[in-house]
Amino acid sequence: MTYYVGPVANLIRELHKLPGIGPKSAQRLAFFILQLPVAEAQRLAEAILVAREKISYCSICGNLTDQDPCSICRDEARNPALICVVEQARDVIAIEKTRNYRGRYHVLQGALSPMDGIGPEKLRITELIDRIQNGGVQEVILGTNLNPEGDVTAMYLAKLLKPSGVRVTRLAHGLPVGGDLEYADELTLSKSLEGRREM
Amino acid sequence: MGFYKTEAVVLRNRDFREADQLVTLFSLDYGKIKAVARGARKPKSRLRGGIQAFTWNDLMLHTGRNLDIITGCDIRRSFYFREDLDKLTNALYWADLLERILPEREANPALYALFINFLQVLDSLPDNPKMTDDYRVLSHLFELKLANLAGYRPDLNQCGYCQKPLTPAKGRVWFSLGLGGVVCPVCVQAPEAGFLPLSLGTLKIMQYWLGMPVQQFYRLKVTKSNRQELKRILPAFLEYYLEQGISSGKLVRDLGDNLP
Repeated sequence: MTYYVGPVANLIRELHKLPGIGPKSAQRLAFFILQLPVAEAQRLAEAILVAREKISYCSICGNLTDQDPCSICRDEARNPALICVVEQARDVIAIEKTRNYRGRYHVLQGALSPMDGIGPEKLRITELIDRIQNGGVQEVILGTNLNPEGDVTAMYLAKLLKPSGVRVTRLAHGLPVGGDLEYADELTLSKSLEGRREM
Repeated sequence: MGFYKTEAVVLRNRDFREADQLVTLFSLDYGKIKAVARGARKPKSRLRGGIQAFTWNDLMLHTGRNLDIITGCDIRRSFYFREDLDKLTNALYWADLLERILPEREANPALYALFINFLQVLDSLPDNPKMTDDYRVLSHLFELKLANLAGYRPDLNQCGYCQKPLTPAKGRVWFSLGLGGVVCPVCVQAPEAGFLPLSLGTLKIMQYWLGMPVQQFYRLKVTKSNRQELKRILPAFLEYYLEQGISSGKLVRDLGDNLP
């Protein structure tokens, strides 16, 4: 780093902090930015700043938003009795893209992971329970990932929520579109058999 | 080494780069291996089914520059425990212990066989929310057997100070973390730091466990007070010798306790 003058070294160091950016990529990005017209660089810097300052978490669902509550929680056309619980804000986007879901969301901001020391207190679980206790919720769809952490989270939430009387469902699992039977694991395949449909 | 084959159980996988997964394997021939499953997060990946946690596979690997690459897998059996919170969390705890305790690339066939045995026993138990305590006992059995086969066998037959065999007369002995075994009540009379009280009943269970096949774990009656002693001693023993806190064990136990 001592080969670079202070501001360049600083820029490289900051870019290096981004995920997936190694020292070489950081250098390449830094030199690209240095070649930009000043106005262009200004726009980039502002975009970062404005996004960071304006975006916060929705106080109801925990999704990323520029207004609190977020647009989904404010939307009267969406069914407030239906809550889909997901791990991350990007999972909300994934479900929204289906255009098939007209309920609301709850973003946990993570999943229970004993191996990483993430327990229930580190997730937005109390907020979810508060929402359900406030009434009006009929069904909670557990949309956590289908990996061990997501499954632990889903089973834990199911046990926690069942006594409150709401209907608790889990996203179905089975063969992916474009999947090969031959390479599917037994569990996926047996789940697909269980969940087969009349044609 | 180029291409090589081995059988292995997946301990853990995590996202890596754009569409890959970094998989920690416990293999029969090479012990713990970290390998990359390329493209495993894409829906059409052929590797995806085989690299889920607790899948028992025949694998083909290729030596890479830093990490080896998984080139093929054929599933023998997938243990997943998706339907039962206690089973899944306890299995995750075992995988975490193994990941911490195993050195990279050092085969330990006895421990490998033990782990598969434990997964089979866990899989054979009924999914029943009333069995939480039994799973905990199974986890303590795993802790003890793991310590034994990983090279930390506690000395449960003679006093760590006077080296005399323990006499079964007194109702209680001590378990010393530092000495890695029991200490008789003659050598240590009052409680001291690093000495945990151990009743003769629990000691007998531990002695018996060391030689017992996993399948018979339910044959021995383990009372609540036995369980409490095992819970105080065994995780602390592993933490002492691994020189690190193991948060997963406590989290798994708390998770069960906090539920209605």
